[in-house]
Amino acid sequence: MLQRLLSDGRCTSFVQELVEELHTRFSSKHISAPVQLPEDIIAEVLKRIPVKMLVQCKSVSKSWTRILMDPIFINMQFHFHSPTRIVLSNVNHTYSISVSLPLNPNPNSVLNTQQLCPPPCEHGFCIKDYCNGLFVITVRHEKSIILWNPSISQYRVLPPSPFFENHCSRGFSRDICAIGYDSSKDDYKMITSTFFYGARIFELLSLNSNSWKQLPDAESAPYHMETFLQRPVSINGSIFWIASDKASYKHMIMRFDVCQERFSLLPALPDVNVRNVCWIGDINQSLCTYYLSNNSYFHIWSTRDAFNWVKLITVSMIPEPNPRTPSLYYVPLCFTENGELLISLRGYGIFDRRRGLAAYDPNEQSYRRFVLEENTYWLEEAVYSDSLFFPKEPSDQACSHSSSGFLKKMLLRFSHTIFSHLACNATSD
Amino acid sequence: MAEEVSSQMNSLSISETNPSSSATISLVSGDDIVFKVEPTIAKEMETVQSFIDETDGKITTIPLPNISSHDLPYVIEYCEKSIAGKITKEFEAEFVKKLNNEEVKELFLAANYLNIKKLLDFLSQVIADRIANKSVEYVRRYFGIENDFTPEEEAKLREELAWTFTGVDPDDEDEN
Repeated sequence: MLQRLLSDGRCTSFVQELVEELHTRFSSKHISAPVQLPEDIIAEVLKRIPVKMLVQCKSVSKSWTRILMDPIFINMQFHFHSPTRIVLSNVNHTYSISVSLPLNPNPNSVLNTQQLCPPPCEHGFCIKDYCNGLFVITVRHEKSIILWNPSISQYRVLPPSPFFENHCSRGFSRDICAIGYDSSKDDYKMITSTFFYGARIFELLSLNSNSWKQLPDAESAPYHMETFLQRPVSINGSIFWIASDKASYKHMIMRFDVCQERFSLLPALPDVNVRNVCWIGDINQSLCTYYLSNNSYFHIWSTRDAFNWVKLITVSMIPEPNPRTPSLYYVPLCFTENGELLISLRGYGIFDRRRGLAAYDPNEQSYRRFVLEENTYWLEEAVYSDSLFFPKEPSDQACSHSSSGFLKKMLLRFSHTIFSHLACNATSD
Repeated sequence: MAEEVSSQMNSLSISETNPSSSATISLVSGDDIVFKVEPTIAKEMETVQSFIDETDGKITTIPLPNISSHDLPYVIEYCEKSIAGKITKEFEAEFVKKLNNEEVKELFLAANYLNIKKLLDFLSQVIADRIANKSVEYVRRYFGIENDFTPEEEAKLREELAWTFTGVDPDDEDEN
C-alpha cells in the first residue's frame, strides 16, 4: 500500500524516507506481536461465526469461554441471524432431517440434508414445539419430555408433570405441549394440557426452577385447540394455537401470554367471514396466517403485536388440471435472500409427486422446486436459527440460591439496624 | 497529501483555524502524518465528527493517536466509496485481498476507534470468514491468544466438545 502511495505521488519526496522507515517498523511489528483485539469487539466477530464452531471455540481460552457463555452475547448472537435451518419431521416418532439455509440459488438444486437424532431417543421422537432454537420433544410414546438444542447438541430430560403422571395410566392423553420465553423472569416455561373428563387441565413448568404448577382458570375451555398437523407457534413471549368455537365451529387464533400466564383470543382478520384459518406460523418474528377462499391464490396476513393485522404477501397456488384432485397444503416457511417465499408443499401421502419444497417468486408468480438429497417423507416443518441458548438445570444454580439467601440475611440485618437506630432517635427525642 | 506536521500539531489542534481552510479536515495519524479529507468523509467517522461538533467546527485538525499512517488511507478509501454509494461486493473483495491478517485486525481496531459502523460490520465479517471452520489452534494463533487451560482441563473440554471437531479445515500457513 505504501509503495502504491509513493508511486501515486500522494506522498511528497520529502517524506519518502520517513515512510520507508515506518514501513520497516510496521513490518517488523507484524512479525513479532500479533494485534490484540479487546473482548467487546471480539464479540462482534464471534456473533457471525456458525454456532457449531462457536461451541468448539469454548476451548480457545478461558476468556473466550466466558464470552461464549455470557447471556448478553448469546442473545446478541441469536438476534443477529435470520433462520438458518429447517427441520423436516414425520409425526410418527421418527428421525428428522435438517436443511441449511440460505438455499442454493440454482433451480431444481439438490439440498444437502443431515439427519438429526438426539442422544436419548434412538427409537424416534416427536417434535412438539420450539422456541429460540430450543426444541421440546417427546420420546417413548409421549411419556418423557426432553428439552433439546440440536445446534449445540445439548439436552435435558424434564421432570414429569404431577397431574399427567397420576392420570396417564388411566388413558388420559397429553396433546398440548409448548414452550415459550418469559423475558420478565428470563425463564422458559412449558405449558402442557391433558383432557380430563371433557375439560382441559393446563400445567406449567418453569425451566429455571424445574417445578410444575396447575393453571387455575380454564379460560380456554369453550374452545377446541387444533393440535393435529399444526404445531403451536411460539414468538416473543407468546404461544399461539388455532382454536375453534365449539358452537359455531368458527376458527380463531388463541394466544397464551407466557409472562402473564393468561389465555386470550386474537382479533379476527380484517377480511370478511374467516371461517377456516388454514395455517399459523412464524415469518420474520411475526405471527402469520392465511385462510382459503378460492383455489387460485391466498393472502398471508401478519401481526407483530398480536392485535393489528397487515397483508404480507399474496401467493398464487399451483393450478390443478383435474378439479377433483385434492389441492396441496401450502406451508409458508421463510423468505430467502432474494425475496422468494420458501413453501413446503404437503401432498397426500408418500406417493403424491407434487409434494416437496419450493421457492415462490411473488413477482413472477412462479415456483422453483428443490430436490432433497435423501428422499424423505415429512409431515411437519420447523424453521429456526441455530442458538447457544440452553436454560440451566436448577442444580447448576445452587450457588445463586445461596447468594440470594445471603442477600436476604443482609437486608434483614440492615433493617434491624435501621429500626434500632429509629428507636434510639425516638427515645432521645 | 501527506505531510509532516509534528512540530505544528499542538498549536494547530488548539488554535482557531481561519475560515478559508475549514473546507477540509486534517486527520493526524499516530505517527504524525496529516491526511486532508473532505468534511463529508469526516461525517462517516463518528468519533471525528463528534469532535468537530463539540468544538462547533472551529477545530479542523484532529489527532488520531491510535491510528497509523499505514491504516488511515484504507479507512479513508472505504469512507470515500461509502459516500459515493459504491460499496459493492466486488469492491469489498478487492479491498480485503490487499490486506493480510494483521492488517485486517489493525483496520478493525481503527474502525472501532473511529466508530465507523459500516466498516466495522464489514471487517467483523471478514475476520469471521477468515477463521470460519478453522482449528482451535489456528484461531489462537490468529488472535494471538494464549491457551490458559491446564492440559487436564483442555483434554476434558475436547472430550465434551468432540462432536464439533469434525469437518474442520486443515490449517493453512498464515499469510503474515
